[in-house]
Amino acid sequence: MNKLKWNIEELGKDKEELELKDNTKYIILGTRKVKRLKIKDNTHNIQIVLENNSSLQCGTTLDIENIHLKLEIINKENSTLLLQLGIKAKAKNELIIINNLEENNINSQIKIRVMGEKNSHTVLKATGVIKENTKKNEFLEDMKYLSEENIFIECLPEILVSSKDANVNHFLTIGTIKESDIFYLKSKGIEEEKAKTLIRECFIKSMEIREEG
Amino acid sequence: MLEIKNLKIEIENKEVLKGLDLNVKNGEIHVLMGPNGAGKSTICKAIMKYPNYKITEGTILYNEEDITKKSTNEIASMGLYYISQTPVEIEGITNAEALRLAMSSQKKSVDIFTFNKKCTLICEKLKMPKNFLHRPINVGMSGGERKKNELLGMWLLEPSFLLLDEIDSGLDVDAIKIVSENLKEYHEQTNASMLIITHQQSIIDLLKPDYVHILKDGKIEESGNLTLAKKIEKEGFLEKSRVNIVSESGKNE
Ligand SMILES: Nc1ncnc2c1ncn2[C@@H]1O[C@H](COP(=O)(O)OP(=O)(O)OP(=O)(O)O)[C@@H](O)[C@H]1O
Ligand SMILES: [Mg+2]
Repeated sequence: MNKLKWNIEELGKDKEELELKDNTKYIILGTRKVKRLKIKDNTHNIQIVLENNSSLQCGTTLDIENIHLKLEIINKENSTLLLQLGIKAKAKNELIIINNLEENNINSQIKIRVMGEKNSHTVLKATGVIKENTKKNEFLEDMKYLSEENIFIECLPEILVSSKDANVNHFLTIGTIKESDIFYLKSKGIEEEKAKTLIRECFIKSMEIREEG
Repeated sequence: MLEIKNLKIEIENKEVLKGLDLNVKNGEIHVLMGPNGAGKSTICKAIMKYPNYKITEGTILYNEEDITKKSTNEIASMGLYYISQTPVEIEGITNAEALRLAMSSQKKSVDIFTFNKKCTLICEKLKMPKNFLHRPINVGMSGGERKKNELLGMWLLEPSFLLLDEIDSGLDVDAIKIVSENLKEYHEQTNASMLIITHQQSIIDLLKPDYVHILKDGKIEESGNLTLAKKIEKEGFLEKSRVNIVSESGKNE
């Protein structure tokens, strides 16, 4: 069992910006929306617990540099999770995300986009665990990273399904900056380097929650 | 304004343009027609320096300046605006993000208030929902919507020369009317020159070009005025060779 002693924090309703603290368990009760995530220290052990009937929508860009993060999510009965991370990685990073669907009627979606700076090295391992004898669970894992020269990114998706009554999907896509996209932007007068920067930034930013209108 | 002299273009070791001459003066509208595969799109892409289109001979002058060796963004910043036959989809980047960066790159004011006000007016003109501005570039848009979306860029960037590759293809009758009227209004306001590639008569009727050219096998085969377009519509591109066969066989008998 878990021998760690967790700091327990209930996520407040007005908390649209969240700075993740090491060794902390965030409890979600009710409906919560997080628009910005920050990581302070280098090593992190974090849990997010979605209690019965709760929902968390978190869509954010995330700058990481020499981070070692283990994020465990526990989804309980009737909960809804939409976690969208647009990760911009510097230096050397390791991210482990474990998403547990422990009860029934859960809708849990994780979307991650990763882009690295020159000479960065990032390993991302995302695991979905759907417990035995659970019913009517929906699970989606959608990871995409930009492949560029001198940037190392490794994405390892894994799904462990022990229930027969679950709808499970996962995607891993490796993206590149397309010549035709650069041409399009240049044909509007944008310089090549600026065009590439825009493509990279927007790839990450597409994970943010955009309010309609 | 735009002067193309003896332009030869190679794509993947195949010569597609075989010595093209074209001269479009300030404020003129030229229409370019020709069978599929003749090299029409290649002309626009070559002018804009599409990747891997190799200029093996000839020159392209814009306002008397040689642009043969200039890069795509430099050419665009000189006032040329290209709308592709099939505008690309770019996921993740919204029209507003790209256009504001384009405007600042072209040293045009982009203060957000004026930008929004302008966009509202343009969207009305194009009969296009304003939320298109905040959608990713052309993603999930129909063929017609994409062409309108590209015209939004024209109104904002105010180019002096338009390269329009089949801007009317895939449009319904109402959309053709809206697009043509926008182009006409833009032409009247700015006196911009246009090179319009089309297979259809309707846009020609509405825009009344000064010249019509027929491109065949990488070269201009015939140039004329509106009547040439009318003749092509009636008789097709094969007409000339057909006439030759008939008259030759007539002689022989
Ligand atoms: N990337 C490419 N690789 C190889 N050949 C190409 C490429 N692009 C164009 N071509 C060839 O160049 C020729 C001219 O093509 P282009 O697209 O300019 O024709 P077009 O006149 O615009 O035809 P359409 O009316 O069908 O649009 C064609 O034979 C085409 O197959
Ligand atoms: Mg074409």
